[in-house]
Amino acid sequence: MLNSTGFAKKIVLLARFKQMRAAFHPEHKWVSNSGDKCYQLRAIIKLLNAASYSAFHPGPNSSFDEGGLACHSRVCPIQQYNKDKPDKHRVDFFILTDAKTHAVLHLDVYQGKNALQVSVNEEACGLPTTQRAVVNAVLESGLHTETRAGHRHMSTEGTEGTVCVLR
Amino acid sequence: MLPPPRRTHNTLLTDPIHAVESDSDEGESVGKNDNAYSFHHGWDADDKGGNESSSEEATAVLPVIELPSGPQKRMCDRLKELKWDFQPVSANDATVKDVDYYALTNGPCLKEGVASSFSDPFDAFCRVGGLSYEFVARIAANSNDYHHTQIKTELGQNRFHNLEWKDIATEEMCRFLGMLLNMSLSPVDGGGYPAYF
Repeated sequence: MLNSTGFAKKIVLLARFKQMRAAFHPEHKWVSNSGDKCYQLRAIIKLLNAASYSAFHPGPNSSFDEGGLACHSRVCPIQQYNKDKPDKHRVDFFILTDAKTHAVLHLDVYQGKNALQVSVNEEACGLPTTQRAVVNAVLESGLHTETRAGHRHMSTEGTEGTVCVLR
Repeated sequence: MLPPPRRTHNTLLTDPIHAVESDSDEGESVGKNDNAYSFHHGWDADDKGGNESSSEEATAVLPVIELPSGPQKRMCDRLKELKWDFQPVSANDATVKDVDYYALTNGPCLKEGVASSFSDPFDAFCRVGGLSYEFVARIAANSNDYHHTQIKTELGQNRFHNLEWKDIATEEMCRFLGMLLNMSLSPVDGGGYPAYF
């Protein structure tokens, strides 16, 4: 049933789906004053990261990369434009996963300049964007408590694209 | 497993208008001098010649609360008084246990007690993914608030998309999120979400 075309009409009316889709807001409007561009997703991101931290022991190898979801909303504050990508308009994510089990250890959203350094670890503040994302993910996911080698390597030399944290 | 009862289970509570107003007549006869909370101690029963055993029960149940005398300190002042209490520890002290430490020789795995904390995929989704029933209830409440504060005020009516608006229940939001998840896993080229209807 779930994989068939038209499965949704057996669950809810199209008009009701449109209503819920238009009203769907994970966070209240007043949280937008916090200066966090990603305030609508912040709560679920923090929950996911906290749940992942409390559930997984990471292995010796971890993968870090950025990925994006196509987004054509004109009011999305974290949407970015890149003419060289297949999806010109998209929202970028930074994800740290375990290389073997693919368990997500840390997730964050690319916020552009992020002048207020919202949701960035103190030790990662002031670094260039990609380097900051990597260091922040490692620090927030608790990997640095296992060994400092990976952290030092990345924070001093920087990273570009896909990296594999060898510890 | 049945979800626990939540305050957002009744969707009327999430409507800011309905949440404030009450249909009941209770409390109309209460004057401003009436105290909402009345505390009757066992002393009254003793002074007025009450039953001795009942006063003993009352004193046995009610805890003695020592009220602070003098001016109260502000919370920020109390927080400033807090100090770290570090204990000096030498390197490689075997008695100190780091709960977050994990030897990497065993490879990746779930932490202790996690595997036994869930019994079905929904529990696992809540425990490991963080998407709990409370969070879905929060999304439903915020979505209802958005409708009443933004959409409804702009439209000036309760009809929306040619359908009378009803507040979103938590279970309905669960189904909605499940539908979104299923749509994202089986994309259909062209048409957008109406293609799934």
